Amino acid sequence: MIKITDLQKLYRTEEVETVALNNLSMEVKQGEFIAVMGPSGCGKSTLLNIIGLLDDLDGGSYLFNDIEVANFNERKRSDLRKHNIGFVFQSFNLIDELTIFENVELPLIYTKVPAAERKKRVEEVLEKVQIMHRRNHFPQQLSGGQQQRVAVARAVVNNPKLILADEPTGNLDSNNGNAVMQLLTELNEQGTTVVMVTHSEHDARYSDRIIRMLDGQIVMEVVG
Amino acid sequence: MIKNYLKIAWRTLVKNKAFSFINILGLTIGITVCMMIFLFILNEFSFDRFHKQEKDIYRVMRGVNDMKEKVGMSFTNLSFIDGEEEIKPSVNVQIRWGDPQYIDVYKIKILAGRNVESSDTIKEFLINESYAYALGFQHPEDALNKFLKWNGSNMPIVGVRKDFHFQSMHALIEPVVFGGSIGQTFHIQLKSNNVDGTSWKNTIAEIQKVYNRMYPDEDFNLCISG
Repeated sequence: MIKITDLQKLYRTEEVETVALNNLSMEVKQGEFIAVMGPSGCGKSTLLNIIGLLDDLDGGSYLFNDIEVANFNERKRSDLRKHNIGFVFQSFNLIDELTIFENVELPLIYTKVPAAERKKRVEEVLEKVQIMHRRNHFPQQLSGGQQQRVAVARAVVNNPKLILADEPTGNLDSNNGNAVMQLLTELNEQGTTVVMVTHSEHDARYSDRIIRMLDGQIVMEVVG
Repeated sequence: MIKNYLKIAWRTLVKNKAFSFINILGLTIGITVCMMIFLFILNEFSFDRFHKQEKDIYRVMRGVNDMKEKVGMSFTNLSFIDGEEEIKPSVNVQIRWGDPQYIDVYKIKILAGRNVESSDTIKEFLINESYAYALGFQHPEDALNKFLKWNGSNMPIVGVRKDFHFQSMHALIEPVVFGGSIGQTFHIQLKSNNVDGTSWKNTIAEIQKVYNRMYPDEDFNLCISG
């Protein structure tokens, strides 16, 4: 599903040039659950942002479903992103002014799904993450765990092929963290590919394969 | 999508009422002041733009010593109310005088008759369309060779010119009588026959020399017409 070859990413300021990713190559197969681990600053989030087409790469090749996307313009990137990729962030990134229902509905509005169909799919996914009873509340009225479940619901409502999760349990206690990990595992079992960045060895155990990074390179892969 | 943005914007405004009020008020005042400045400048620049040769027309001003203060002035022409029995209905009429080139400088069209002839005294009149109609004539030609009484003399109307804004474009065009005589205000047109404008400067310098010779105690001023 994803094939990255000799990926390079540099961050430049006027004085310093930092190599974030250095000739990194990796492959992700359809239906895999991958955990990316490593110390802070090793390039995990940069890698996730590039896989999610949120960031440009400075060198190398990136094939998404056998299509080279490294040279895609912003329009093509966002088109591919909104139809194929769901994001889950550490700090949830829900929109405070929208209700839970409206937050989850948002990706469907961007992909121009009709209103009746939107309502049905949002209700289904809210049922799945067991948050249906809070559908008319605003994010600030929910606990962290509930908010992350809503964020997962928003990420999967469009039935994406790939879910990218950047430390999804980082702001949660262990109970809520386990619930979110359980949710991601269920989605993976239903066929969704998951790439998750984490610091937690416990969470990494949910994955099929653990990629360990250091200084912008993959130093070890452990197959679960 | 737009609906969603509006929804978010509205809820943010409602949530932060005081902050929104200050922001909107500030923005409103800012935009209003900008618009007022824009309208003011637009208005200031709108005057006398209709002259075909507006870039080449200048008004000569006199700097006169008045009670030890220098006062810049361009003497306006006299106006009078003609209440003479011969002219009906009685209307406010402006009288303006200048040399016959006045008509040419401002590209004023003559509808009937001819321009006044050059003279040091007023001996004939050119009137505008509005005055011709105010006097009861149906067509401009009908006013030709009729007489207006002025300073006890009968002055013939030799031509009728098209209505022309000699004041602001915002002012109504009033009946005007034009006499061919040397007036106290004069407007000149300088030929723009080279790009860098040096010939203008030379001409203006020559005019100033003559002016200073004639009015040694007065300043010479030149401004673009309008």
